[in-house]
Amino acid sequence: MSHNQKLRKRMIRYRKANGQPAATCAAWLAVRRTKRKKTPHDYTQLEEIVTQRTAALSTANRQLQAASKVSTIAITILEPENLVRQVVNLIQEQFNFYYVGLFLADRNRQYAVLHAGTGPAGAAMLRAQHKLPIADNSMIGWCINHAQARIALDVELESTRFANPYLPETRSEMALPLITRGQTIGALTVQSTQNAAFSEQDIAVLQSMSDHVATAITNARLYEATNTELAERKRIEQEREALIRELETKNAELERFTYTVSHDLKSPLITIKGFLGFLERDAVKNDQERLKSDINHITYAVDTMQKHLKDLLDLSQIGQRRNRPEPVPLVDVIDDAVSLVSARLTARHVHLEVAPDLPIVVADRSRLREVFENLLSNAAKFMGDQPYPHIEIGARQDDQETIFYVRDNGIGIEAQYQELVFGLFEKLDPTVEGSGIGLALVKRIIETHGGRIWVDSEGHGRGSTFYFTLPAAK
Amino acid sequence: MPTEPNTILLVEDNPAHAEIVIRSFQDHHVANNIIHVLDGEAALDYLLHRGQFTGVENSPRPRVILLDLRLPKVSGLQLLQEIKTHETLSSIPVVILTTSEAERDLALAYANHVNSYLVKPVDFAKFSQLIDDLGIYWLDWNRQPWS
Repeated sequence: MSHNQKLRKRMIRYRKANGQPAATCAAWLAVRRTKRKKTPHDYTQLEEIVTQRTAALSTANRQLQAASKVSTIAITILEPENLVRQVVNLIQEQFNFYYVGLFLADRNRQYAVLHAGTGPAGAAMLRAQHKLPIADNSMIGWCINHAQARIALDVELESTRFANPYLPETRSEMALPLITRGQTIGALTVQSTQNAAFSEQDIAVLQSMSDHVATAITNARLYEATNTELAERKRIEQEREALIRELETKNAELERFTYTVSHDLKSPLITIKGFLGFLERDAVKNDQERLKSDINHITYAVDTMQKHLKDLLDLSQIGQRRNRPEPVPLVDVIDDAVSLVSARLTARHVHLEVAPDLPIVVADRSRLREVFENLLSNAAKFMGDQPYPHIEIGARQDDQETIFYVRDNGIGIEAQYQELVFGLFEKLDPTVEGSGIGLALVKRIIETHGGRIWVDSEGHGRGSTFYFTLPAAK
Repeated sequence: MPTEPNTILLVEDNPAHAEIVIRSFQDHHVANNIIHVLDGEAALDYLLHRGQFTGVENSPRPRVILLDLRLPKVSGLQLLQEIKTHETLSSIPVVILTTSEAERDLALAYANHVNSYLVKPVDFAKFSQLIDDLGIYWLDWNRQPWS
């Protein structure tokens, strides 16, 4: 094959691959066909053609490289909003366009909503929540509707394009559909300040890039949805676990409650039946002394039972709110409680100290009064032989919550009994008056308010401090 | 350690219940020496001759310990555990006498080597019968190496 034949073949192949009307090629071949001797003029023509083609190829190459760069970066970004922002900036920089905007179809596919736009114009349109109906009256709408790229070489002549005050210098525009898995999820708009800036060839390169961008957006959306779903599931799982723990606690509490109640209600019954039996015998024997004692035991057991039943009723009613929680100045509640137990405090010569800066809390006022009433009377009751009985009420701010305390310098509670004291009918000292309901009641009130209660004591004779939390007033 | 043939240690915080038990024993003429303590600490003091029970002659080793479960401070189960893991006290028969019919209490009591578990009957005739049987069984029929 001669050199000329080779050259010719290459030119034809180029034309075919290019698909462009190869007018200059044909002209040159015509020159070749005349088999004239090459003149300097011929060479000049050839050089021109080569230069043109080289420029075209290098432009195509640059475009392909730019498109490839955009695609490569796009697939690495997993956060959808960040992805679209970066994509428009990349395209604008890489291709040196006047403006690049990215629209995504909304849920109902009614509007194409602008999700990213370059420069101040983009920022302004995003602020204005720019959107276009997905219909044939805009380039973007048409492009999404038809899943096809569209070029407006001179925007002034383009009927589907509305004059955009944000982008006054646009002379030509291209809309590229974002297609992935057969669905058009949105469109890109690229705009130039030059007339006829876009060719059919540009469409091929940019459309391939747009396909990659569309896939990247879908992937990022899926990734985000998966992550959201995962977080949601984790949250639900955690909520479920917390609920199970709460139910387990409640269940254990209920079990303890039933156990205590069955014991404490059965116990006086045994006493009553027992002494009724003795009573019968003692009546026959006419033992007046014992008869009296039998009757005393029976009476005492009946009273105990009655008291237990009343306490149980009180306890069960705490669950049903007596009053709605309201903002209550703690000082007022403490004043009320102090006036109710003042006899006991005075009798025991208790010196009471209340902190001056107590906050306002959201609580059922009368229930909260019962809390302080019980804690104060409890503190006074267990002063022992303390010569200078002292009770201190105060609050301290922790990281998250306010912790209230009632501190005394009485007999204290040894570490191993500190949890026991809140138990129903639980009395550490059976000789002390009272039914053992007080602190169980206090605990239940605090818990129904969403707070916690605990006791701290360095041991016997070292005083006790009861701590509790309450939700703060907002 | 000296033993008095009919000594029973009764650990019961409810004075009325203690009186029913003691009077029933007296009615049946089974036990003549019932030591009644109100809580677990006092029971240990008795068994180990401590505190108010210092001096061996004041606290003969009981033939049987009658133990209530719901006691202030040290619970009946805790006391049972202490007795059954104690070098010299572990061989004393411990009989739980309680109002509790809870499975959990039964299981824990047997896990801690209780010798018998009795639920206090509400009915007086039955209560009285139980105490009679109990006395006859543990003080008459039952043989112990040190008696």
